[in-house]
Amino acid sequence: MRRFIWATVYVTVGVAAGCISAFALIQQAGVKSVAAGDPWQTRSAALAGPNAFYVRSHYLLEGRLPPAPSQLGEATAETDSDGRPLTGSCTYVLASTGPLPRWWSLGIIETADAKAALQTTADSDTAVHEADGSVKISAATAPQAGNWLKAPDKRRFTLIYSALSSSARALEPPFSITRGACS
Amino acid sequence: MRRHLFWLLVAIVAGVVAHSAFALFVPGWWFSREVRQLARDHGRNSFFILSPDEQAMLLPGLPRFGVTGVCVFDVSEGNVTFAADLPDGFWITTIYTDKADAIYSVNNRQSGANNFTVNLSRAPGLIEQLLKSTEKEAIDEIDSGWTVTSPEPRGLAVVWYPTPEIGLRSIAAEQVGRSRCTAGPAGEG
Repeated sequence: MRRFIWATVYVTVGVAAGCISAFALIQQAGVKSVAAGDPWQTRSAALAGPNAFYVRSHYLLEGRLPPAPSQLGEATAETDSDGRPLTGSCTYVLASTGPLPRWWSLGIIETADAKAALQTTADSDTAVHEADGSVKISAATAPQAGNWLKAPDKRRFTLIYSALSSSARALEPPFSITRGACS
Repeated sequence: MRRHLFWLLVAIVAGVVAHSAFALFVPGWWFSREVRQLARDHGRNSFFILSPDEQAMLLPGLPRFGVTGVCVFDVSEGNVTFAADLPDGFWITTIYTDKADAIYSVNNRQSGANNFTVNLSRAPGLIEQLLKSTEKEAIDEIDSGWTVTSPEPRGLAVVWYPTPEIGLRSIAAEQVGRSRCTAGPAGEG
């Protein structure tokens, strides 16, 4: 009887460890910063690499399709450029850090789960450009002058950026994220 | 001590098997539920426009204003023809297996035309490939730019067409919705 209990315990622990390690690997595989010290992280670039199987599995577990490889890139940011978590208690200014691709889109989602409901988006078709061609977007709970993304009240949120990946700047940080006033 | 070592080895083997089984089967099974639901709602081998909510579920990073058309294809019983008839402007057409493996993707600039036909068929298995190469038949069936062979029997052909504002969505949806997905080779649909 004791042998049976031990066998059950060992096998159960082994199976649980195997499932947890697979899940953890799927969640972490291919995630890398767009640039060193930058808040933007992407896994879509790894869809063509050696971790492609695990990266694809991440999208499958979220019940969604990955961005079309070689067509669209996707990056998310959960912190500002100084590493502080993004929260609806503060306003943020997102400023383009160079020429943007032919098509791009920037949206806010409420959690780190990319499948969560998108709040609002600004994109290449709707954003108002500055005189020098750059783009500045405010992320805040209250309406702001110019381009505005509505942030969720008092809660943490994630920025999600999608863009055509055929341009030379596809893998460079798209926007700096500067925190403004906090309530 | 030796007994514990034996069961520790058993636990490691169980862990490796569970890890492999989870990674191989769980994500595919999870996503195939979504694909089956789409097929139940809209039918297999037919082209349809996703509602904004369905689009948010399948392609959450894209703006809601855009139009996404999908064909849930099934090539297990024969070829499927996807005939795209898209409006002018920027669009991306991507063909995924039901394991989310993108096997073909083209945008408006790469295509050079808004009307094109993609013939979808099942990729031959290893034994079939070996037999054909022995019979020197394989050379006749090399993919052209408009023929896609899928390693999985089911998949999704996805057309995405961004629109600048919500008011234009219904007009764009009507135009994208002219595309067709039919069982059988081109010309028979």
